Amino acid sequence: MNATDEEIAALLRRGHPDADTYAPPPFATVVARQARPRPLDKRPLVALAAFAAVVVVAVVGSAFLRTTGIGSAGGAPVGSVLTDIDIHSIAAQAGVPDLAVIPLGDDTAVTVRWRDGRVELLRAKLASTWTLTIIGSVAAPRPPGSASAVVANMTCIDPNTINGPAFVYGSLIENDETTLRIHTDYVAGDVRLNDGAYLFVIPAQPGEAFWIDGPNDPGAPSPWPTAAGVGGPAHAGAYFAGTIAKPNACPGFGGAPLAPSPSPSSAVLFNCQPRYCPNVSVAANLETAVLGAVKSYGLPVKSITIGVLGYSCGVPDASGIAPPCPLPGTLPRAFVDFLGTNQNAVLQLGTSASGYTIVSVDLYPGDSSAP
Amino acid sequence: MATVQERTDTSGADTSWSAAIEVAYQRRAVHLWEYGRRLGLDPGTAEDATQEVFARALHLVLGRRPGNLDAWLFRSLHNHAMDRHRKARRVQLVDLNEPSAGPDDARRLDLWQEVDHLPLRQRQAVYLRYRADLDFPAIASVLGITESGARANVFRAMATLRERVIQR
Repeated sequence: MNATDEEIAALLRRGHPDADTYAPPPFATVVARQARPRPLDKRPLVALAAFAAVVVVAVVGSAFLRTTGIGSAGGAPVGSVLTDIDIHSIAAQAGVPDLAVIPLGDDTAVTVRWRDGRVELLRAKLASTWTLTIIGSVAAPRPPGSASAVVANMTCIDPNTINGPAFVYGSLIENDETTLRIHTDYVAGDVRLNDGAYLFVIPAQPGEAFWIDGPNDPGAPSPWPTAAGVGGPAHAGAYFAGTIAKPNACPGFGGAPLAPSPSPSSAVLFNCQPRYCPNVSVAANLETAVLGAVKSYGLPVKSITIGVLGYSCGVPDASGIAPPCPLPGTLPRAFVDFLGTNQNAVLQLGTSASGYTIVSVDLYPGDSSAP
Repeated sequence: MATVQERTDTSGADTSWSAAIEVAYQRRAVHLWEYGRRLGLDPGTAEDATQEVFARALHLVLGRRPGNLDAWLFRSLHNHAMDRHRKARRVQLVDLNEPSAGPDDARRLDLWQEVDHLPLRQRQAVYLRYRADLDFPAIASVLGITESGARANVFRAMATLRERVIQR
């Protein structure tokens, strides 16, 4: 005899048996996940860009068909406007010994493990000539306390391409110094959401590193700079290891700097005891200091409020996770990272450069300027 | 407007909204995970998708917060699952009905195997109605269909299940 609706409904309400043993992670993991910086909602912009692209292709294609007579003659269909690139050959031209090239799509998260060398996150596009844009670079993982364990975030824009700015978030996962997690996302102006970025894993070059550049600067090997910035590439906008300021100009593209410039800013300090980081009064000092730093980068911001209140380190919270304290032997200071352009930025405060983020704040000039 | 951001906790979210999301998480995390499984996600991916949906909910600013949070959560998870499948270019066939602990679960397992063979809409509708206990307006909102369409999908699903599930 077949089951009745009531019997079926009763069984359905109990759920699938495999859910009986499923225990979701604590809510704190959601909070931690949410605290990661997120890009702007790009959907309206993408839709607009896609519409614009369709219009342009239609207009250009129509003109092309009229000119060539292909359409009226019933010839072969017109091919793709954008040609796919051969990233391996481009890498070879740039002298980059890519061991692994991982295409990154929009909103992609990857985990990479490596022993030494560097990880480069690149963006490439082929029009009549090729260009390579360095988006982010990660120095070789080092033991804790080493000044070289730095993630360098940078966004460069090649004015010769139609590509717009990109956000790339990279951070070393705590407790695993050889794991990098990168989150990519693209914002306005980019109509190639799924094939614009590549991750290069570059093999170890002890004491040496290649400067990867566009066709205007063919990328001769350059010595990796020391923590003091000595011996680095001659280009404006070189990457530096350690806690030296990151570049404020993109290499090889006419030197047009982004605004705001990446940091960290050594002007921002906060006092942090080993087991208890800033209290309310110190947070107020932080706000003043960060405001000064933000203004110095040209953002028309009048004030900043930061909720770094009673941040504790080394003490497990309710979820059992203990936020890390500053590394032994390092100066207790807040590092400020800017990601983005002069249209928007994400401000991150952390206990180390691009390390554990205490708070991130989205800055929009339109929200805050207006004297 | 002088202030860039109102004073917040370290997550950047205001506390009342965070509390509401936390309550929803305690109540709905298992249901969303299970819904993800019904949509063809493997256990790990379903958990990741569930976490992501709640993280996005926390991130919603005032003015974009949904009136019906439950419906928003399930709809977001559905969108997230479809995105995953789209990016993977194909729907991965995962074993949704792995052997369970004991014979007491056998009948439930049989039933859910039949549910998983229903057309997607019916599968979603019957899950949302009976397991997630959503009302028909909410189901309609999740599925992007009319309320009568939601009722029809549940009705058809139950008719199929009646035929296939044997009374014990």
